[in-house]
Amino acid sequence: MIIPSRASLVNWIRVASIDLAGTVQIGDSNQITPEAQVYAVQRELPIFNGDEAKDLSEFPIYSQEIPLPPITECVEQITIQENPVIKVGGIDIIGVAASSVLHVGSTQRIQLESRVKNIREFFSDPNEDKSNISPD
Amino acid sequence: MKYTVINRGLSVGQLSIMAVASSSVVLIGDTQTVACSSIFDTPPESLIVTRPFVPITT
Repeated sequence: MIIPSRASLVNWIRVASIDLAGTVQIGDSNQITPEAQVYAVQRELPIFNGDEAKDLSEFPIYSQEIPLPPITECVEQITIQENPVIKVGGIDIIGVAASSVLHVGSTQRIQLESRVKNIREFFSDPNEDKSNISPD
Repeated sequence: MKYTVINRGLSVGQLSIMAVASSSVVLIGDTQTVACSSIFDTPPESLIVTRPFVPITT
């Protein structure tokens, strides 16, 4: 069942930055399904060789199945659009991150997915440093 | 289940957003379904103590 959708009226949009696989969509769409796979390495000093991750398939986080909530309820929806316009004066966004969407307009289906693996590398033991500082 | 939605009017002055984070959506409009999923992995073994790989000073 396709419910008649409303028009969207936005006077102005200001977006400072968009990250990988981030989307700004102006206008109607049918479906939005962005996916992002991020392998983030943080080092105590910014020394990088560029070959930190050669093959992401060795990590299960990028292939494991994400369970979706089962939709079993049978819902019969009737939507009456008395005023078929959504009005927004302005939109001011600093950042649109990976696998995220700013969408002005109507759509049918939105399915977003992001998989982030974060690695922190220290050149000295941060816990050891903490025990030295403590007054005990 | 039956339910009825009557959209009488929607007018927003201004949206001010710091960040739309990973796997999230800002929608000015209508949709049928939304499914946002995200996995973030920072296991204990992801904290690695190592020596610098290259000389810091040359």
